[in-house]
Parts: sequence; structure tokens; C-alpha cells
Amino acid sequence: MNLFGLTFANPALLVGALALFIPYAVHLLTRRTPRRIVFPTLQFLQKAQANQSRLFRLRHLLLMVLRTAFILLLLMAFLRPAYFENQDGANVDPDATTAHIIVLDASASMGYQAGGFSPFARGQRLAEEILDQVGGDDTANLILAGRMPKASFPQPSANQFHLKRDLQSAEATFERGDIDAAIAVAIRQLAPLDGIAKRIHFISDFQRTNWAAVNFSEMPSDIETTFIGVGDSDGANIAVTSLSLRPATPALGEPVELTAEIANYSGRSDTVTVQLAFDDQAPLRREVVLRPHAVATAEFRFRANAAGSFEATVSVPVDGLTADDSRFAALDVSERVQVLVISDADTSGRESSVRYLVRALSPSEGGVGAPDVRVVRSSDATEAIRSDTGIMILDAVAGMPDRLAERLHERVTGGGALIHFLSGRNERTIQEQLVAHSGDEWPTPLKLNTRIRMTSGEFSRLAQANFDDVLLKKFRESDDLREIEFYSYHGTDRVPGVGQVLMRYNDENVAMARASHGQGMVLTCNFSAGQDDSDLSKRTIFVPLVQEMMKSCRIGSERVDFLVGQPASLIASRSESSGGFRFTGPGGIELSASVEQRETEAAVLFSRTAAPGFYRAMFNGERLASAAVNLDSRESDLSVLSPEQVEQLAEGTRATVLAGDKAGVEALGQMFEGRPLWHLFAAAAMALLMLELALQWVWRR
Amino acid sequence: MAAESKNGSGAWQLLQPSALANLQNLLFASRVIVEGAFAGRHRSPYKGSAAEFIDYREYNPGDEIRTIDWKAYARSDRYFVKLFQTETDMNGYLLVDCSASMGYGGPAYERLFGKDTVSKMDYAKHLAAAISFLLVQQGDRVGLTLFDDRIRTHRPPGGTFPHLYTLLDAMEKQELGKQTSLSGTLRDAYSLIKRRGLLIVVSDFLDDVDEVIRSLNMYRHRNFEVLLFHVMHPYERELPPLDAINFVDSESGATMTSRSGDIADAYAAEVNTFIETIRSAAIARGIEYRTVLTDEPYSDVLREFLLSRSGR
Repeated sequence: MNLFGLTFANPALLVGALALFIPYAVHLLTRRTPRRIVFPTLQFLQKAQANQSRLFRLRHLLLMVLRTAFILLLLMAFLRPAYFENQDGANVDPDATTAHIIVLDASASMGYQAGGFSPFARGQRLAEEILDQVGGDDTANLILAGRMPKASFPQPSANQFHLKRDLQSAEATFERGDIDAAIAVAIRQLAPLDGIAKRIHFISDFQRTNWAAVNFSEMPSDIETTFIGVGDSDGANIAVTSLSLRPATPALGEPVELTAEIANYSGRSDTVTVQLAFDDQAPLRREVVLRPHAVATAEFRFRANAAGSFEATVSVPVDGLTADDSRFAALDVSERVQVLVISDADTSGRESSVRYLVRALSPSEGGVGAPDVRVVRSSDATEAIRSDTGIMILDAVAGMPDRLAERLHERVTGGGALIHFLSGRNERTIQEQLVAHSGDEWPTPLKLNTRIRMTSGEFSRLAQANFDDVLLKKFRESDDLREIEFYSYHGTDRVPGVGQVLMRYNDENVAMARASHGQGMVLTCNFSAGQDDSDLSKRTIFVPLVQEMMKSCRIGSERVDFLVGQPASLIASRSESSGGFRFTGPGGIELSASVEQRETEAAVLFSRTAAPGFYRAMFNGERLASAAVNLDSRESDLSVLSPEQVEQLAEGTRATVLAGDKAGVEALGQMFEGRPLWHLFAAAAMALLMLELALQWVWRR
Repeated sequence: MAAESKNGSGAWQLLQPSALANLQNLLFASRVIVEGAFAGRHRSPYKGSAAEFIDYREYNPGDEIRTIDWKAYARSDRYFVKLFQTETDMNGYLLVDCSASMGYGGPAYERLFGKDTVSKMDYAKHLAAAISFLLVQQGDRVGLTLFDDRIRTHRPPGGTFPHLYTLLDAMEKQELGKQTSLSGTLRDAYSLIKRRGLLIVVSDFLDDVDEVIRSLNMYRHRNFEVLLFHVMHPYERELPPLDAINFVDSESGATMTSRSGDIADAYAAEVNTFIETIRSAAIARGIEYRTVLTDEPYSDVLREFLLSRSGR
């Protein structure tokens, strides 16, 4: 029986409510007819009456109320009331048939284990308790909330055996949980169920980075929710949260800088040894001092002494969350930096800018570390752009074929760099082509106007330069840049918010601008090395400027960081049929992958990754290429939402929050059976009794 | 003993043999000097040749020669006159309240209070009878005034047992009267009482206390010794243990309904204040005051009272 949100286990005892009339009956029965007494005098009585009778009437009234309340409370205690938190007793009958969906957070943070059980193991225990409490007519389902929600049944089922088996065999993933997706699945499963109560139980550590943005606004009003926190509010964790390689695809003998970010998600300082290991080689070590709740970096500098595919692992000492104690990076070392110059100019002409460019790109052609520079016409460029083409240079291009525009977009977003000299006659058209074939994503820091050509004897000079930028930093102390004479360039309008301007002419037109695009970048140079357009090629600064441009392009290139749970891909520089490939995951586990064969390489796609580590393409026992898959660094921050914050998050829904000390088996039992309140009523009744005795004692005195 | 014979005949029952036995050998000695025509047990203000020597003083011309103590002269060669205190009988005046309020208690109330043999009136009569007996027995004279709002019966003092019987008869016959006017009675009786002595008032004093004290002052000014016996029923001192009571004023007939438990404490406090008012006013004027509850044996009360007087 449900009354005022209370459920009574012994409703039969309600007949005892008749006892409430006992104090009134006593009151009425004791109001006997007054006995008549002839008394010596009324003078003292009248004085006493004046002082006392009103007070005594109040006392009698108070006593009657106390006694009635005492019997009421005693009766309530015998009725064994139970209170269902956050439950609207007028609308919901706790005995009604209910469909339960348990959303068990299976994200990586749930695997944190600092002694005792992990949050996931605790969650399993509580989920099992919920299944145990599910009544005979009730149904239930289990949704594991990883990157993709995984439900045991397409809709809530009474097959508890299967659910418990799924629950026991479940494991925390290395993925970032998509809670919104899990909520959507749960709501979709409950939506068709009419006439029954619906409840979703969220069991999670309520990791702040994962839950803070979860949207409960779509939660239907007929669904009740329970939030059961199993996280460690002070989960200390040290993690390798990111790796960056500069350059990302170094050439043989080129210095490489690997920077690892080490995050300390605990409240105490620590000093850890960060270790960088390449395959089976002896590791490099760095001591890093970590301040509380701060990020420190460990930098490793080395030279690639061999070309090929290398696997770098940066690790810190093992702690409660082992999955983020190591981070992986695949390093492809090329024999030489691949530079592709796309130009339709006559390369044999003395005035040709391409000729000077090629010379400046590789002044010591064939030397150690010298780039591999190829020059192709725009019509042949599409096929010439490979996955290892680090830098593409557009100079004096006559036109932009559609396929070339698409390929440039693809390569730049994939980590390549494009240096675009606006030296052709159709640069505006070329720019429009690039924008059109990138889905309007191509960055255009400059809007090109008509080309400016100085009259003979006149020229423009560079008037502004951003010497803080890595490209121009080396020229800060030099006047050489100011000495260059420019005879022809495009009038420009700056497009606000796109890229950054590096240099301007003295007429305010932009001379150089840079913008990132996907994983790569585009460097736009509003000048030409051709002698008709400037005297740049005659200047001693020309070669260093081109070298710095090339270097800055490569520094800006970042590795693609694949995350667990997402697809991962790699390019294997082989042209053999895919039948010879073998694919493995972390720990050498054989995997299947899809292969897209190209002319000189094969694109390999691992549709789903389950663990952090290296995913490899092997050929005849030889590793051709690796893709590094890492934990989403947001999983490393184990700070959790407080129960109040969870309540705030679920505001507007019919939510019950069991977090902290309240997230135990006992609390769950109370949720299903209600919180027993009989002892409170009994205690209150005893308190009233004591109060009455105390009052009577005081009054007697 | 005369009292026993009368008791045995059933003519009056105010003097119980058992009670009288308790009073044997107790003297109602007056604390002030009384005037007496006959030799009695009380000091007389007249010094002379009576039997009891009290002091010497030096001879002054004019003193009777026979009062000179020649033995003292022989010892000291100086003339000393012997002083004697004459013993005289005492007049006792009993004022007994017979107003309606004195009818509280007794057999008529047994259905309310349980066993209750004596009303305030009966108790006052017994007490007055006992005092009368004592005074007569020790050779003093005793008078009696019965009153309510006015004097109903007045008997001048007498010192014989037949006189005592008349007093007892008067008390036996006296029925409950009307309202109390103790102060009026005291003023009226003042003119009837010729000779100073001992004034004993037995009453519940339900009158204006200030007026009563003012009236008693008149007696004190004439050097009367005044004794007040304030007779109260136990269920007057505290309210009877009944739940709801319709109280009827014994004298005015006014009514009031209340629960005993509700006002018991306040009532007791009021009564105590009343008693204390009388007591303090009496003591301030050299008047002896004693509250008497009707459940106390009057002989014991009297015995205790007389013993305390004799100890002074």
C-alpha cells in the first residue's frame, strides 16, 4: 500500500488507526459531571483559577495531542513503512511491473584499480544486485557503455540468466565511453513499452571529463533514473597524455624531437622516470618532476640512423590505471624528405622561378639529409603525390585539375604541407578550385585581387614580418628581408580569422601567410622567385629562406593519433597484392583489416581497435608499417562528479542519486524495498512518551 | 470527675475522657500579668504581702515598716524591703466561630472525602471545650462568645464547673450560622469583656485579615494575651483529590467549577499566603497563632501548644 510516498509492509495493521481515538475517548470519559462541594470560601479558588486554568487547559490539550501523536507514530512503526526516494507516490506504484535497463560504464577509467576492486568490478556487483532485485514480472537489459553501446538484448527481457552471464563476462574497455549513445539506446528500447514503469540505472565512476557534457534533456518524463557512483573520488593517476614528433616523418640522419606530455592527476607532487623505447633498443630515460594537478613534458632528441618503420613507446611507472601508463607512436623514417614541386613553367629557362627553387631546396644535391626533390607538371602531379610526400610546392601552375585539387586536399589533411607561390596567372582560379574540391574547407587567409606590376625602376619591399614565428625567427637580426625588391604580386584582402599573416609589403598587401588544414598546413607566398617578379633569387637570403620555409612546414606536421575504439589506418609502401599481408594488433594478436591497393602502396584499415598499442601490417614476416593506437587522454583524468553535480546534471529528470557512501548494496536494497522507516517512527513515539513524562514531571513541580 | 459523669450521661460529648486524660497536669499559664480578685495561679500586677517573695529593694520613707526584712538588716546594717508577687486567677475569653464556613468537613462530606468524622465547627467546639475545662480546672475563669456575622451567644467568665457545663451546653446547642464577621464580633465583644485576661479565638479567619488584626489590636492595647487557633480542614488546606468539582461558597452561595488538579498548586499557594499573612501580622503584635487541621487530635494540638507555652 502506498500513501504519501510511503509504502507499508503491514497494511493490515491499519485497523490499529482506531486506536487514535483512544486519547479522545479518554478525554471525553474523564470529563465527568462535576461533584458539588460546599466549600468554605471561593476567594482562594478564584485567584488560583485565574492564574492556572487557562494554562491547564493548554496543558491538557498538549497532552492529548502528544498522546494522539504517540499512538499514531507507534501505529506507523508497526505498519513498517518504507520510503522510496525521489519517487512520486501519487503516480508511481513501486509494486508496478518495471522495465529496468542497466547502463554500465565500460570506459577505460572504470578499470582503475588501486588496491581492492576496480570501479567496473564494483559496478558489476551492483548491477547483479539490481538484477537480483528485479521482480518476477519485471524485465531488464544490460548496456555496456563503451565507445559503442553494447546491449545484451534488443529490448528488456526476463532472461536473467543470460543477462547475468553477460554481466559476469563483461570487462572494462580501453575506450572512451559514449554515454549519450548509451542513453539513446536505452531510451529507444524503453520507448515502445507502455503501461509499465521504466527505469534506467546508470552505474559509473561519473568521470568528470566523460559525464560533464552528457545530455539528459531528451530523457522522457516517464523514465526514472538511478545514478549509482562507483568511482574513487581521489583516484590518483599519472599518465602519458600525448606524444609529438618533430618532424613527424623525419628523414634519415635528421634530428628528431619527441615531446611527451606527462599529466599528474593527483594532489601530490611526484618525480617519475619517463622512458622512451624503440622496438628492442635500450630505452632513453628522463626524470620529470610532476606538480599536483599539472602537466609536465619530457623531451627526447635523437637522430634516425636508419630508414623504415619504427615503433616508439613512452612509458611511466605503472599505477592504478595501466592503460595510460604507456603511449605509442609510429615513426616512419624516410631515406630523404620527399619534396614535390608542381609547376607548369619552363624549367630550362634562365628566368624560371622553378629552377631557382629547386636549387634552393637542395643546394647540396645528393648530400646526406638532402631532400629528394621532384618536379612534375600539374597534369602529372596527382599520381606523383604519395603518402610519404612531405612537402608539395605549387609554383607557376597553369591550371588546377580536379583530381589534383582533391589529392592536394587529401594529402594536406593527412599531414602534408603545401607551399603555394602565387606566381601563376590563374592563381585566383586555382584557389577557387582548391576551395571547391575540399568541401569549402581549404583555408584561404588571403582574398586575391588583381595582380600588381610595378613600373620599371619601381618596387615594393617587405615592411612587416612576424619574427616570433619559427619560420622567420632566424632573420630577426638581419636586414636582408627588407632589401628584397618585389616587382609583381597580388593585391590582397585579409580574410579575418583564417590562418596567420607572416609578412606584409610596404603597401599593406600580404606577402606571406600560413594556415593549418587538417593534420597539415598551407603556406601561401604572394611572390615568386622568378627574376621578373622579384630579385629574391639573387639575394643570399633566398636559400636560407626556402630552407626555413621547408623546415617550418615539416615541424608543423603532426602524427595522426588513433584512439582505442576508433578505426586505425596505415600506409604500407608495397604494391603486392593484399594476399601477402598479415595484420596483428597489440600483443601480436592476429587481426583482419581491409586493404586498399594503390600503385606503390597499400592503405590498410583496422575497422575497430580494442586496445592501445601497435597495429601492424606484416609481409613475409617483415613489419611494413605500424599504426599507433592510444587511450583517449581524457580517460586519464579520474576526477569524478560529486553527487550534487550528478544531481545537477540530471536536473529535470526523475533521478535518484546513489553516490559515495550511499552507492552500496544496502542502498540498492533500500531503493527497491524502500528505506525502512519503522525505527524512526518508533524512536519518535518513544521521544514523545519521554516528552510527556518530562512535561508531567515539570508540571508536578 | 464531673466531666466524666456528664459524658457518661450523654448530655454533651465535647469533653472526651481520653482527650482530657492527655491534658492532665497541663496549666494554661498566662504569659501576661492578669488582674484577679481571687488567688489563682497567675501573676498579679499588684505587689504586696502575698505568699511569693520576688525581690528586695532599699527602704524608702513611706514604706510599711512590716515589709522591712530585719534579717537582711542584721546582715548588712541596711534597710531592705521584701517584695512579693501576689498570685491571682485569670479570665479566659473564648471566641468560637460558628459561621457557615465552619461547617466544612464531617460526616456530611464522607461520600466525597471518605471517612471524615469531624467538621471544622465540631473541632472548634471540642478545642474550646477542652480549653474551658483546663482553665476551670486550674482555678481560672472562662467566658464564651459564639459568633457568625454577629454575636450569637455570650457567657461572661465563670470559674466553676457548673459554669463550665453551661458553656458546653451553649456550644452543643449552637448551630451553623451565616457569614463570618470576626472583626465585627471582636469589636462588639470588646465592650462586653470587662476585665483583661486571655483572649482565645477559634476560627477559620475567613474575614478581612486587616480588619481582624485591627480589632485584635484593641485587646492588645488593654494588655490582653491573645491566642488564635486557625481551624482548617485538610481538604481546605489543599484541594480534595477530585477531578471536576462544582465548588459552592458556604457563605455566599456563589459557585465555581474547576478541576482540582488544574488549580491545586495555585490554590495551596494562595492559602499559604493567607496563613502567612495572618501569622506574620499576629506575631508582629505579640499574638500567638496556631493553625490546626481537623485531622489532628485536638487534645494533642492543645497539649503541644501548652507545652510550648510553658517552655517560654
